[in-house]
Amino acid sequence: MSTSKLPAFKVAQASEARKQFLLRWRLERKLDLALRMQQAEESCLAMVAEAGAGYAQNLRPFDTSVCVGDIRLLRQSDIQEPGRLLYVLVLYVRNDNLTSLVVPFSTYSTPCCKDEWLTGLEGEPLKVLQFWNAQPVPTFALAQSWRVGTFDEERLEVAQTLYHHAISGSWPHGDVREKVGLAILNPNDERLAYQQEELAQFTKLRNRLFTLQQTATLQAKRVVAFDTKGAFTFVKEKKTFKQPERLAASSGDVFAEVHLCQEEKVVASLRAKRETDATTQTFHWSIVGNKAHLLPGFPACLYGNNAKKPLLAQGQTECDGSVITFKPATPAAFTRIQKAAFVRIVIALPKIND
Amino acid sequence: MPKENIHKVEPQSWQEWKEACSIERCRSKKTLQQLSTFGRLRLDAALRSISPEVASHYCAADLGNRAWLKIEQYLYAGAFDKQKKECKAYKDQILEGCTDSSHFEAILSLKVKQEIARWILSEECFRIVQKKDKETGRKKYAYIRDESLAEELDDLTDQNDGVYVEPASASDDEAVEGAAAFKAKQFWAGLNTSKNAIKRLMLVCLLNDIWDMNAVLSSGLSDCKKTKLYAERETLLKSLEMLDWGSECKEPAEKAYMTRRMLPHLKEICEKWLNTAENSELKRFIVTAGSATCA
Repeated sequence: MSTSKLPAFKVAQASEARKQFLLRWRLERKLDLALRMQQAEESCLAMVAEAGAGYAQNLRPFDTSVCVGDIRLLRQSDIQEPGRLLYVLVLYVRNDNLTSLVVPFSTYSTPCCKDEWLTGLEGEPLKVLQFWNAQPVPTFALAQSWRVGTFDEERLEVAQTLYHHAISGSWPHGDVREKVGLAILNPNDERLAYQQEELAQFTKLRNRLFTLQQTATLQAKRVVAFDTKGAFTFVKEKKTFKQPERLAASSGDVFAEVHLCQEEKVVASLRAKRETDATTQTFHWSIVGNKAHLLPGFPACLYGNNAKKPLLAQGQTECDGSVITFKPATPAAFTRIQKAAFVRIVIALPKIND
Repeated sequence: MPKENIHKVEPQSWQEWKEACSIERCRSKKTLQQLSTFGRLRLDAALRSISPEVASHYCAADLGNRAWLKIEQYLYAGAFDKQKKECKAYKDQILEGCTDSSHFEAILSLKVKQEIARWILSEECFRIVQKKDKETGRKKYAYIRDESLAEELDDLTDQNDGVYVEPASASDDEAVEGAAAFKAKQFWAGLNTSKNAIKRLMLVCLLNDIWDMNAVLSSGLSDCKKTKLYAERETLLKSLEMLDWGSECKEPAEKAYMTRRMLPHLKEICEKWLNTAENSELKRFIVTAGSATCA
């Protein structure tokens, strides 16, 4: 058979050190499965699987500001396997779709496949990152976890590069390649069963993401109206909020009323002060006063009285949840928001403890 | 302290430990003793059946809190300063889902017997074999110290031939994929003659995981004898193995790797071909025989 048109390529053998990764991984996996079987025989799992709360006393509050490079420990109720300490690296925080991209750490100490990387961290549960299992999760759910450390810039940069290799299927090179595992080529490879198990850890968070997206969509579809005096009404619920009187001797600051809603019920009303970034055509509203219900990554709608449809922009809460950001889709929408005489912001709270 | 209380960790002791970062910072003797015992007994229970030697190394009664410190070392995730509040997050995480102190102890026990035991054993390079108990006939796992990693590495090589080969450099990533796609087209075209019709049928079966030649015979898709089908399949597998991948790809493992990279492309071509009207009968057979194989 002719090879005259065959594109030129070169393949190479993986180093001995990386072959040892697979060997070591298989050893750990065997031990893991056998110990799990022992525990199942001893019926230890039934008691552990009880869902519950109530014993929790003086728990450290969650670290609600989610930042790129955070190493976070997810809360128990967001993880499928009872008792699992699931650490994740925050790779990206998206300010446009309510999610953050996280990469989980493996329970094993060596990379099992091409898209797992030996981080160089000494802590046993932080030795290997699973890029193949990178997940978008709701940022507000991530805000309900604990920060236990941070990746330095150099390590974070490598992690981001490796994530792109994972999604494109390409290979890292040089020193970085020496820290990743070997590719899975055989459909019967035992590593695929492990990947299935690990994917399942995120079932609850995927459900929360689905609920969040539903909440955001429903809020954007809610029918609202302004009257000539600026009173704001949720039409279906027939709930009206009068426009508060302006304070005398205004400093020129622009304020808006903010309603926190959960399933069509208003759970709190707050005020927020506007800051405009003309360069990026973005509005940031900082909540004034009680921020108790707030977390980053909640969907928000900005309504104004000067357009056919009151919904002027959709945005989200950021930082620790006390800043609401809107980036209007067009310059015309940006101008409409600036010129609106009456504006209201509605933050839609998903069920945060489901 | 009365001896019967040693095995129980009182809620106050858990509380002190939770506040104090590590057992080393707990002041109460009772707490120290209860936690040390808790850790020692759990870890010993997990390790002793596997390796009395390792169990004694960590869990002998005269070693004080060594077992508990090993447990903490794992839970702390090692990389951080134990004095910082971040390092206690694991305690909050475990406590968050618990109903009472027994539930908390059950979760912690499971972690010790499963994750921490695995960690210690794999650090000690143990491996597992399955043995039959002579008296009861029951299958049991036995753990033996892995004297020679090389032995298992050979086993790996045999099992996953070709798995160690990869594109050599960044520019080879796409080139490998391109070569695999090119070769798939070329290979398929080579079977596109009436002389090779049976071979192509065998390839379609292979790509769709159909190995039962009786099913092929009874489908009426070929009037060959069974021995001929087997012979054609053998020749097909040989020709896949012998494909010429150029001068830079001569080693058997390298060729096997490239053939594996080629198979998804070949399957894609095959699916397109099966979806044409003249192949509807074959497609029906593939779907039916494929699902029968799965069942």
